[in-house]
Amino acid sequence: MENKTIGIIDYNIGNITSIKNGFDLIKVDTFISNNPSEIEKFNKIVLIGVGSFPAAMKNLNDFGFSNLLLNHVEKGGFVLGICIGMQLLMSEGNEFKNTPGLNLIKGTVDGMNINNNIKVPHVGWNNFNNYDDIKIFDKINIKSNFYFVHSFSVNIKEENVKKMEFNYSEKNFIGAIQKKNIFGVQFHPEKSQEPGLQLLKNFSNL
Amino acid sequence: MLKKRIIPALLIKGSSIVKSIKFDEHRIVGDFISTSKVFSKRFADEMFILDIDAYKNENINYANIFEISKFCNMPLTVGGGIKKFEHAKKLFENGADKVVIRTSYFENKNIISDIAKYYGNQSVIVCMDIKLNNNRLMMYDNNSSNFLDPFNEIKNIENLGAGEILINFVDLDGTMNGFDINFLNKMNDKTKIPLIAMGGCGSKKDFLEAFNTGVEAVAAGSIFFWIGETIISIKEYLYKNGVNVRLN
Repeated sequence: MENKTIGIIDYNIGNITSIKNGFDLIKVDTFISNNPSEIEKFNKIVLIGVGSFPAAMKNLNDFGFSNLLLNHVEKGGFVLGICIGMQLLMSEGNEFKNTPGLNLIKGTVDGMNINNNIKVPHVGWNNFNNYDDIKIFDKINIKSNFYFVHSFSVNIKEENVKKMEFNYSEKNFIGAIQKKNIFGVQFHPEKSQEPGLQLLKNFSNL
Repeated sequence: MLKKRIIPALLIKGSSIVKSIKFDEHRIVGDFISTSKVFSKRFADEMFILDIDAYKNENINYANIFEISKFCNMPLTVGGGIKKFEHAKKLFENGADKVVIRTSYFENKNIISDIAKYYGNQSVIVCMDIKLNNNRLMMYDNNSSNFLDPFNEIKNIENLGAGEILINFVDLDGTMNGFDINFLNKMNDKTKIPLIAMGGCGSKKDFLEAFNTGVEAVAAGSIFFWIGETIISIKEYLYKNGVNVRLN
């Protein structure tokens, strides 16, 4: 398995360029492909996207990446899900309609404004107020801000998942998770200036 | 806690940055790639690239956006010339994080819901051009030259699935005379989605007054090019005055 280069899944859901640019800035090689057999040789895989849950999940299935990701995690490979990529790791999404997810982590993806009278999307820079010992946050100042842009957030329904929370409109939401070799961040590290680049560096050094 | 955003807005024409005074007398202020690198290092919270010729000329410069995005280590929002869903799709593929829809709101409203369905609500900003008409601030339809009630239109825009609304004070653009605070207050009460104020910002106090209305972000150009204020100096002032901004 190729250990240094990061495999980036291209499932036609946009904004693959930004994450490649982020890794370029810290001089980490990336390989982008829409072909699962080309991605499976990498030990570290990034799943990112801009999009709605049903559209993203459909493309992930159509390109054949869902099975690849399940096998990859089973074999001990690392995955970093970013934004919708983190949401797709859950068992189901509730954006527009109920849609099955990858089910790598038992959890749901729900609208942030359900039962809360708050403005969505949650867009902008925010910090964490509940921390956990998540490996990819090494060497990052806990007061750091990260760039978020989303209207849905994950709710975890299983034990043994590390979680970090941010506060928005006096309510806490999950913004970062780790379950063994699976990592997820709701914010965009590639758009979060220095602390974001440090996180990408940490992932590449796993 | 979510921070209030300061967004430098670069108006581009070809491969130069221009700064408009009331959107027509354009002055060339520099090369956009070097400018975007500087803003990226100075705690800008996001960057707007608005191509003022793209709609008229039916020509979006995707290669420019691709180049800018390489150095833009912050969210990149692009507007100008987006008439079809495919235009937005191609911009996202070239590194844009969000798109701004302005004229197409009048010609092809469905583009907003199409983008929102495929890329999520947060990826589409609708720009409302606000102009004085018979002493009332109205939304200006730059396609038909009609004036529309902004308080009705803001609900329509929200229902179409826009993630944010850019309130662009056309009469004030480049004048640095400050925003219409009363109008921002009313608009902010009318909607659940985040508002961004743009056009006319000339002092630190203008930023403070805008944020006190509840808007989530202020976009500005002139103040950074002509006055010598930096994003950091403005943020320090805002922080001292109780606005929660990002300083680290």
